[in-house]
Amino acid sequence: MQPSILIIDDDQDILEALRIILEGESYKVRVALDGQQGLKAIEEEKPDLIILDLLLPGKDGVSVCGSLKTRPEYRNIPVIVLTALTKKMGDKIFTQREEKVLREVDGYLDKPVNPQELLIKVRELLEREKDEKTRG
Amino acid sequence: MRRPEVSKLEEMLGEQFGVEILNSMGLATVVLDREFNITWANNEYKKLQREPGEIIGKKCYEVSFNSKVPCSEKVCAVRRTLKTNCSSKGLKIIKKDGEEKFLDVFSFPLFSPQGKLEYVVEVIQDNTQLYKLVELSDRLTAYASHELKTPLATIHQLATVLRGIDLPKEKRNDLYDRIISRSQHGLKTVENFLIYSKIKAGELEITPIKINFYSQVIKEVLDFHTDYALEKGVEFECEIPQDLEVICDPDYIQVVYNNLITNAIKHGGEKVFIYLGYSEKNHDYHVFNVANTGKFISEEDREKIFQRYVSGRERGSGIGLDVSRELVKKHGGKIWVEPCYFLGKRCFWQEEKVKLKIKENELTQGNNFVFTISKKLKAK
Repeated sequence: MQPSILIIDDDQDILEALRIILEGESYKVRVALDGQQGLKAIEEEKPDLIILDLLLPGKDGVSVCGSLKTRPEYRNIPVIVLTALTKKMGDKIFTQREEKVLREVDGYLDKPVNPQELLIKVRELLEREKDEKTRG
Repeated sequence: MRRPEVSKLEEMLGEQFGVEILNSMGLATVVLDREFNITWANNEYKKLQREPGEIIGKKCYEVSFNSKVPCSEKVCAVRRTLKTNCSSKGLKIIKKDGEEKFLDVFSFPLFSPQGKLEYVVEVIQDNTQLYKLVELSDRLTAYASHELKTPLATIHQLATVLRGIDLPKEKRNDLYDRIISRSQHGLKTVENFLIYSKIKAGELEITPIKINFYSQVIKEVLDFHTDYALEKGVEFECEIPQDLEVICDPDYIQVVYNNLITNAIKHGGEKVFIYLGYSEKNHDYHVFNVANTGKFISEEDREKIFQRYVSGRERGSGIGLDVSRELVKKHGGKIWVEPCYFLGKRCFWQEEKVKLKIKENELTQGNNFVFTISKKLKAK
């Protein structure tokens, strides 16, 4: 069975672009437009990997990450944070709490995403997860 | 070596005109002794410090900052002059009656005939306006860059996919449409910033002409938003008479509508419904409204949202409503927002809801942006 990926981003155009990239590699893709919807989608069907935007309406990416990491059943789902907000752009200073949460994510990619970089990162994380599961 | 008559002349100039020149230049000037006591001050200085009473003998830091101790050498030009016997300059930020003032300060040593530094002359230029303009311009630049980064990043993302992945024609066309739509919205953001800079420079002029309001404003606006609205699942209802004639600047009123509709799409949640209406009841003004479904804007925020850079975090420049307010003002009108209700596609105001005795839980919340255009505008 193909791994399933959940993308949480409020920009429908970005969602569509990422969906095309990932579906091109036969991943099963689901999308959510905000943090709340994202968490609901995770509860409905646990994804193998999550691609998460940081700036989301309502419950933002940091809160979603925080919620996942406190729940044992979801703690190990690999998360790639995807955002146009990068520290190097000086757009946002993360609080200590946010920094702590963000240190626990598995990868960062800047928007716009290079499709090859995205696919490499996705493959790498899914394989790592598979290995860990095999090792039990 | 200086000729003696030149030194004499300089002395006379200093004695006779020094104070007058300083006063006529409108620069606040104060003379301090080595202990920071004010020994002389001109009227500009008293005005700047908002001190109606006697200030001679008071400490300068007491008058400027209401402080009991002198400022640090790092920030105080006077202290640096006292230390180095040389002139110095710095920036002083004081707060008077809740208002911040940005002051450029120049300090000069005043020596006794024996060559001992006895006083420091502090000349102050109030550059508050200038600093605020620079700050505003910096903020605007940062904001504009940020706002353009999002659509550009998305356009880049879509273009990358189009170039790198072989897609069926239908899918390709969908991505092209998305690129067109995002770039059009990016252009609207730029348009807002250009208008905003004109407003700031006091150069915004409108050209009112008599138009058919529906075909020259509403149709254009609806055409522009159709694709994006469809993508977002937005529905429109327009009850503006098709034969309505209005004297206004159609280009700028389109900007007002574009900003209100973009705002409605952004904040209307899922399945936004937007109602465009007109009331002819007012004798002096054309009254237009753009109402949309969405949570009530709190009373506190109803004024705030028309202020610069107050915005939610979704797509949009955050200055759109501010620009709209200025454009409406130029049309002799006003803009405001009030809560409203929807029952299906029917839009209700508070009074109507009470009259019809409809329970609140049967209705959907909404916000109604109302703007007016003076009927007294003359066509150019």
